[in-house]
Amino acid sequence: MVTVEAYGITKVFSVKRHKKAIVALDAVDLAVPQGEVYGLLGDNGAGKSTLFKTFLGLVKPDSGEIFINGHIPSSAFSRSNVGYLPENPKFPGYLTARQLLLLTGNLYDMNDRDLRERIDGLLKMVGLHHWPTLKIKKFSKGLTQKVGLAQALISDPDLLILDEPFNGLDDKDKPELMKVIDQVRSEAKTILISSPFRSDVESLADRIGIMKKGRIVQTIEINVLREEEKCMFEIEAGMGGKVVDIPAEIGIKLRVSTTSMVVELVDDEKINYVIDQIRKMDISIKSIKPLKTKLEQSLYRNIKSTVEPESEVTV
Amino acid sequence: MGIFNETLLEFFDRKQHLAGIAVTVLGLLLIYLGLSKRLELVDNNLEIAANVTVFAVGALQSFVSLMVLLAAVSTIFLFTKLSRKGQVEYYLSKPITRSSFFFSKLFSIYLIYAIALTALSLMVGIELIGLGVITPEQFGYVLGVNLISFGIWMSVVMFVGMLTKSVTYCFASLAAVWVGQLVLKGREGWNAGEQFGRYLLDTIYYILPNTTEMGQMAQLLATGEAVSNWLPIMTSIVLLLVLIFTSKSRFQRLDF
Repeated sequence: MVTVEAYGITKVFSVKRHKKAIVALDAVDLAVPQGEVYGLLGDNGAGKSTLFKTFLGLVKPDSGEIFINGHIPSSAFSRSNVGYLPENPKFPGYLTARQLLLLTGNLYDMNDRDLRERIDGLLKMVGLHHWPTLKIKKFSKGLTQKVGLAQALISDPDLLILDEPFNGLDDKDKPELMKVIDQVRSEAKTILISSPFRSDVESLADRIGIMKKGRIVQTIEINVLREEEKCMFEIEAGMGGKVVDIPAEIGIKLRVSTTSMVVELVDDEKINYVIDQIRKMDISIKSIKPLKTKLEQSLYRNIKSTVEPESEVTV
Repeated sequence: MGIFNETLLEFFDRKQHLAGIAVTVLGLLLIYLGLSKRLELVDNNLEIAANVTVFAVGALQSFVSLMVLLAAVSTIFLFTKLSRKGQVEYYLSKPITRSSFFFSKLFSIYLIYAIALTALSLMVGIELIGLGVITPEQFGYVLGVNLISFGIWMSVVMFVGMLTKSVTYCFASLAAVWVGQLVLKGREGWNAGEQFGRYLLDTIYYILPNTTEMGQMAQLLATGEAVSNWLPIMTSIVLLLVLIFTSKSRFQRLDF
């Protein structure tokens, strides 16, 4: 079953002051099946937030069709099974976390008993139970994102839309929030998550869409990329001037220096062959690490090759 | 916790009740000082007693209409916030229709401010009733008309806020309507030239909210005099409805 369906979504914002129009979304098509985690990657202004907002009826597209669990976004019913964490959320600052969750639960028409139990559980889950009387306006960015996630989860929705959930979080808060989202992911919910940074979504997403100038220019299965990634290694070794031969059926050398070598192999098992070759030459190996940069290179290549001339592709 | 409770918490968080209480205490003091000398002169003189009642009703009307204006100014921030990106996204991403949210918020804001206005006016009203210079019925007339007047001012703020998203424009529109109705009230004495000019001035006058005239109407009702022209209150109520439904229609079309 498809949870999110979007066909040819176009949205143009007119900026009257500058007498110009900005194409925020340009014929976007997207289908996200139930249980999939879909990551949307793109720079600021690429159209990620606008796309998410069209799914919630916050922004009305100029053309195209959207169905959320089979309902059009202008119907309130389409949001009854959706949780949303906006980018830079602005919740009523005069409420405490518990009051916000109570209000949110009432907006979802939840019954009081279920709601109170759910609130207790969620506050513990996101670690906000330590601040029962603190008003949201006094919250740090990390706490705001946590209460934002809790309100998105209050009705136990099947679809969760998280717009840059890690935006502005420090190294302490980010893993905590990541852990909570990962926990939700394990409950087989459909999640749409956006970020300008690959590292924010790659560990969560099943599929990644790359957005640029209002278009999804490429969609990549994350498993396929991970398979490719496995095949790139950086070997740190005292090579000096020695040359290690790697036959074409094993792989290729991408970069060689006196202290290290980067190889791309046909499969990751072939690393043993390369290690044997190096050891045969009496070179001591200090470290071998799989390189993850390939995904970034692939993403970059995909963006470039789709929207810009081949000649400008840089990998 | 519903939208009403949330709006109430915001009202208290912004400490507007404290500002209201401060103005009321000042009002109580001024009215008492103004009345005390007149009360000394009453001494079974019915004519002076009637004048004291007119003064008291006028003072009550001035106090309540001032509070109405302060309340209308206080709602500016609330209505401009409704038209801007930010907090409203939180509500509209929930399973609630835009109309339902709009009217819930509108009625919550109106009800909270109306309750506050009633409570603060009651403090003055009780003082005047206690001094025996007005009756509860007279207080009721003044309060009732002013609660309608507050609705009209609030709808102006809401309309301009929804249209421009600007706090400054809301302030400016309140001031413009206030000055406009005062200036146009004296239109009878103007040399408007042709019949057409007279009609035009009348039309503009009746399109604008006539809260000043409503205030005078409240005083006439309270002092038992006949109200000859109900048109200002009627046209103002029509304007209120038009502004509310135009604002709602605008709110439904906004992108957040």
